[in-house]
Order: sequence, then C-alpha cells, then structure tokens
Amino acid sequence: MKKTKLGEFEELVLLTVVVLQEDAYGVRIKGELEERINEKLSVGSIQSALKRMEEKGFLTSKFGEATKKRGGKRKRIYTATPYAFRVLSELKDVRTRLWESLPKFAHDLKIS
Amino acid sequence: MISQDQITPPKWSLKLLRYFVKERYLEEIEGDMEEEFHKNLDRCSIKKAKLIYCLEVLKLMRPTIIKNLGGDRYGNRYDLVKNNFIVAFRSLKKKKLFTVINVLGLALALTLNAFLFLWVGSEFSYDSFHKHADRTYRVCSNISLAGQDFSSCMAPPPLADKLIREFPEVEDATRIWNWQNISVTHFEESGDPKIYNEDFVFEADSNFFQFFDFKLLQGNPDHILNDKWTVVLSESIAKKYYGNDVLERDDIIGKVIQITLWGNDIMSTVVGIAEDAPQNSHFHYNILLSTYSDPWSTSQAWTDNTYYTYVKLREEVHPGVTEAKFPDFIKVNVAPK
Repeated sequence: MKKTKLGEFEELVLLTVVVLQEDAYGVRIKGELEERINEKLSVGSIQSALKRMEEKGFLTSKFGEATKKRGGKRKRIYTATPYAFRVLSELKDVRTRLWESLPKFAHDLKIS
Repeated sequence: MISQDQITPPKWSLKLLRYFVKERYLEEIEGDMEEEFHKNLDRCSIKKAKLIYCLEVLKLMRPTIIKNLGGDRYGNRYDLVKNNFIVAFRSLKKKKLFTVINVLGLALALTLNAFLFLWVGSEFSYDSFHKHADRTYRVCSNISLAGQDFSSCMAPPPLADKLIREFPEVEDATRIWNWQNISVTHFEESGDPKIYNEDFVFEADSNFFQFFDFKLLQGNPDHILNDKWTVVLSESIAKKYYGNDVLERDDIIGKVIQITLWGNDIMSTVVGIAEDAPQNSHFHYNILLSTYSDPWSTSQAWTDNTYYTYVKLREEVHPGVTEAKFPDFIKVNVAPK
C-alpha cells in the first residue's frame, strides 16, 4: 500500500482505462470520465495523469489506428498492468473495510 | 460551405504545441487535440472551437509533458549533470572535515558579502532623498594660518548670502550650525518646567525647508524660521515634550520652550514640526532654531568659519565653474590686503 502512490484523480483515470478496454485512448478516456463525474476536464490533465501512471508502471500502451479526424495521427491505446489491478483492488479493500467500520449512527446520518 | 475536415486548428497554437511537447508523446497528443477540436466543431462555432484549442494547448504545459523538464531522461546532458552532483556529494561525504570547513567558510563569506552589499548600498543612499542631491554641495575651506594648514567643512557666515548675490550659477544657498548640549526647558500643562539636555540643536536659515527636502509636518513652509527665537521641533522631540498625539493636535504651534544660550534663558516659539531626518541623512536635527536668533549669523567676519554652508547649483552647471572663481573671490573678500 505504501509504495503505490496512486492519486485520487489518477485512480479515476486508471479505472476508466480498465472500463474502456480496447477503446482506452486519450480523448475517449476524457469523454467517458467527463460524463461520469459530470465535470469538464482538459486534455493536459488526462495526458499527464496517463504519462505519470505509465512511468509508475500502472499502465502500458501501444499505438492504435489513425483516423482522418485525428489529422492522420495514431491513437495510443492504454492497458492496465496486473500491478495496477492489484493496487486498485487493494485500495478498494481498504475503503470497504473503512466503510464497514463506520459506527452505526454515522452510517445512518450519511446515507439517509 | 467549407466542409468540417478543411477547418484546421490555429496554426501558431499547433506550432507552440509541437515546440514544447516531448517528441515521444507528440503524435498521440497532437492527434488527441485534433480529434477533440473536431468534436468541438460539432457543437459550437469555429471561433469558439479554436479558442478552446488554444486554451487546451496552454493547459498542456505540465512538467510530465513538457520537454526536458523532469523525467525526460533520454538526453545525455541530464545524466551528465546528475552524475556530477552524485560525485560531488560522495566526495563531500568522504572528506567530512574539509566539507565542514569549506561549507562554513563559504557560508561565512556569502553572509559577509551580503552584509557588504547592504552596507555599501546604505552608504550610497546617503542624502539621496533630497530631490536636487546631485547638484547640492557643501562649501569647505582650506586655511593657511601662521604657517599651519588645516581644512574645515565650514565657511564664514557672510558667504552664503554673497554666493547667491554674486554667483549667477548658484541657485540657492543655506547655512546650518550645530549646538551640542543645550539646556532646553519645556513647560508642562501645569506650568511646571521640565529641563532637558538636547544635542543636535541646529541653527537654520529660513530657506532650510525649501533647500532641503525634509518634510514639514506642521507649520507654514513659506514663512518659517523668519523671526528671531522661533524653533521647529523634530517629530520625536515634539512627541517627547507634548505626547504621542502631537500630529493630530493643532495647538503645538505657538507653544513656548526656553532655550539656554550664552548663559541666557530665552523664550522661543514653536513654529513647526518637521519629520525626523531619515536614517541616511548626513545630519540629524532635534530642534531647528532660526539663525537670526544668533547675532553671529549676520556677522561680516570672513576669517571665522562657523557655518556649514550648502550651495545648490543651477542645472547642468559643473561645480568646477564655481570652484574656479573662488581664488579671486577670496582675494577680494577674505584677504583684501
């Protein structure tokens, strides 16, 4: 857990990559995440999160096909690494356990 | 109508993008940006889509994406410089005593250097708050008397007046004289006298506040120190005598203090309050007394150097011009025989 250093925003981007599977490239990730969190994002924020996570070993990538809309430039398709899956599920476990430990009354207050 | 495919992102913006994005990311990011641009064209005007594109390019300037700033380890130079640091650090660690001596020495030297800069800066700032500091001079005398040479930074009492009248390049001149250890009595509300021993009691000519740029906080600058036994107090002296709220009060002008000079107690009227001379002034006054109070101020004696005499030359006059006239001037006035 200590070494993972996955930021909150990075975690969201990473999960989106996993969800999109073969379709996970820059603009598509941006559109998907914008829709889900209902907030405008810039190409720069998505791209820098992707690059950082690739450097940290959460993602691998390969070139995809080029389209006319992209001015003939190729896409880059991102794939989560097994390490990323492990960290994601660890994070989820930690959260779940924390939620389970919430005192009953606090739980009522939050949810009702 | 132009088809959508023919509309391209703003050229200079694209150029900028190509300039700063890391080469290995360029194709992907450029493509993403272009796709995003066409997506925007579907829902808003060309102008707005172009504007969004420009903003997005600016938002791309992030450490992870920009060339050569953090993380781009493909350059040779980066490794080289990094290695230099590693080697330097290792050698510092190895020779601890020398490291301590060198680092402390460098720190000490840099500190002294900084102090030196501050000190020299303060020296150079002296009197610079006077607007015409660059053309204000003090007249000094070199005197040869009974075979002995000495110099003084004071000049004879009649000189200032004579300079204004006879030297066309002289715009103005003024005199001051400094009394030390003067006994000054101030009367409290109850009438009780309170005696202070004051230094820096200056005699000053009536044009003192026109000549220098010391601010007069209270009093009429056009008619000040015109009459015998009138004084201007410095702010701190005024506060000392009358309390800290002197500047809000309007009853200070007209108050009377008693100055003891030549064994006589003389009542003097306060006609103004001046700011304290700034720290980088070459003289600091506590009380300014009109020169007319002192009979010596109107003396015509040329053989006594008793007044600091300041001269303001007209613009673009070289002081040498005035200086060159002095030998003849001295012959006529000081030693006519």
